[in-house]
Parts: sequence; structure tokens; C-alpha cells
Amino acid sequence: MYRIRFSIQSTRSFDLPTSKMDSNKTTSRKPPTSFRSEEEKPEIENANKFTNDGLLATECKAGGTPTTSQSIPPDGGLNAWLVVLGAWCGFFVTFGWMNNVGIFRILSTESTFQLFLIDHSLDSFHGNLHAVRWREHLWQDIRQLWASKFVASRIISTRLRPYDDLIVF
Amino acid sequence: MKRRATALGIIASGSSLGGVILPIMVNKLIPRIGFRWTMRAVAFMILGLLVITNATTKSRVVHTKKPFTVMEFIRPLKEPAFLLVALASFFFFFGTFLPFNFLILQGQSEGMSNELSNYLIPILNAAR
Repeated sequence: MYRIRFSIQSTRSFDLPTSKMDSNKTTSRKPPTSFRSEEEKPEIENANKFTNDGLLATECKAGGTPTTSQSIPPDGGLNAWLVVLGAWCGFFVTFGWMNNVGIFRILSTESTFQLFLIDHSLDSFHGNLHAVRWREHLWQDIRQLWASKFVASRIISTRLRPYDDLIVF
Repeated sequence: MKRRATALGIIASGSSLGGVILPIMVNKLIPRIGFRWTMRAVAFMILGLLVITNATTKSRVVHTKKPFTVMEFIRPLKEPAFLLVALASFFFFFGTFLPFNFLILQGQSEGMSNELSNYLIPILNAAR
């Protein structure tokens, strides 16, 4: 965590301590004349670019691909909060919807929903009925609680089972 | 960086709030406009929210085309630590989403009223 924070702060200030360390190493190997250091300046800039490309320090260590300088994550300010907003919306629709599955489970046992789903396109599922019969037995008692009134739709509900699974999962 | 925890908390609250709002919305809309249009309404809401998401967020790393190999998916499983993490998350989600599936049915079979038991999932999500 410390390394991550460290590198992002340094990318903001465009003054990377890691690259400085590298440049120090390279300069310490060579005699530190002013002429040499002038020569190495473009190299240092290149090194700066490579590590300054929005990569976290851990990714640099893992040998991640260098990215453009535009991909530095926003740190504070309106941009960052907009990212928070966008990610909130994304979580809302994905995990919120995922948490919604129980509603479908109960809807599939309610007779109005079953009647609603009568569809001749489901006829092709008839061949699969024996494969889902065990599920019928599993839910028989529960569905008799709530759908017994309309179990003229006995056939319908057996048709519905595969469709139910298609919706929920 | 200072408010990273706050930002992540706000983002994570999106899933909980979605779990509260969406079930109530679906339950109220189905008697009024039917299942089909309920699904369409939810889909339009998702569309609007995802437009915001796409406008405001982007990937931090540039995507590059990599050669596809099946072993890329199998090789990490040979590592015991990774295998254990995968198994652990499998059982985590296995346990997490079972209640969501059967909570209402169980409540009703225990004698809960139809009205109240439909709110069990929003309650569970709000508590998370």
C-alpha cells in the first residue's frame, strides 16, 4: 500500500523518486562530470516517462506494460468524484441486480407470472422435461402453498421450469 | 488518496442500494405494467446508469491484444495459494447468494404475509 501511494504521489508531482534513484545509480557508475550529466539528461527523461506512465510501483515491479500518460488515475478533485459516481452506477446495476434474484424465484412460483409466461416457443423445451423433473419434486410442497389455486397450469409450470432457470441464472 | 476509503465505500453502497431499490421497483411495477414492461423499464434504467459509468470511468491500463492460450486459465490453478483463493471465493458466493434465492419462499412457508415477505430482500440488502 505504501508503495502504491508513494508512486502515485510522485506521478502527480512529475518527479519520480524511483527514477531519481535509477539516475543516481547510473550517474554514480560514471564519473560525475557536468558534461556527462548533460548527456544523460534525455535518458533520465526516458526513464521518467517509463515509470511515470501511470503504472503503479507494484505493476512496474511485475513488468506490466507501459501505458500512456493519460491513464494516470485522477487523485482528488471533480474528476475523481465523477469516477466514483460512475463506479457507483456500475455497481448499482450489476450487484444490485444480482441481489435481486430472489424476486424472480418468488415470481416464478406465483401463478400470475406463470400464466404470463405461456409461450408456444417453449414447446421445444418439452423434450427436456424429464431432466428437470427432480426440481418439480423439490418445489412441489412450496408451490402447492402458493400456486395450488391455479394449478390448472400444472402443464404450464412444468413448461416453465427451464425458462425459470434461464431467467435466474 | 486521502479519501480512497470513502470513495470505495460510496461505490460499494451502490450494490446495496441497488439491492434495495430494484426488488421494490420490480415488485411494484409488475402488477401495474406487467412483467415485460417491468423488465424493459429496469433495462432502460440500467442503460441510463451505464451511460454515466461509461462517460466517467475508463480503464487505467491500455488494452493490448494478447495471444489466447487455454493454459493461461489452467496454469494459475496449479499454484496452491491461488487454488485455495478460487475455492474460497466459490464457497463465499455459494453461501452468499443462497439466502437471496430462497429467503422469500422460506419466509412465506413459515407463515409470513405476502406483502412483508417481498420486502425481505430489500431488508437483507440494506443490512449489508
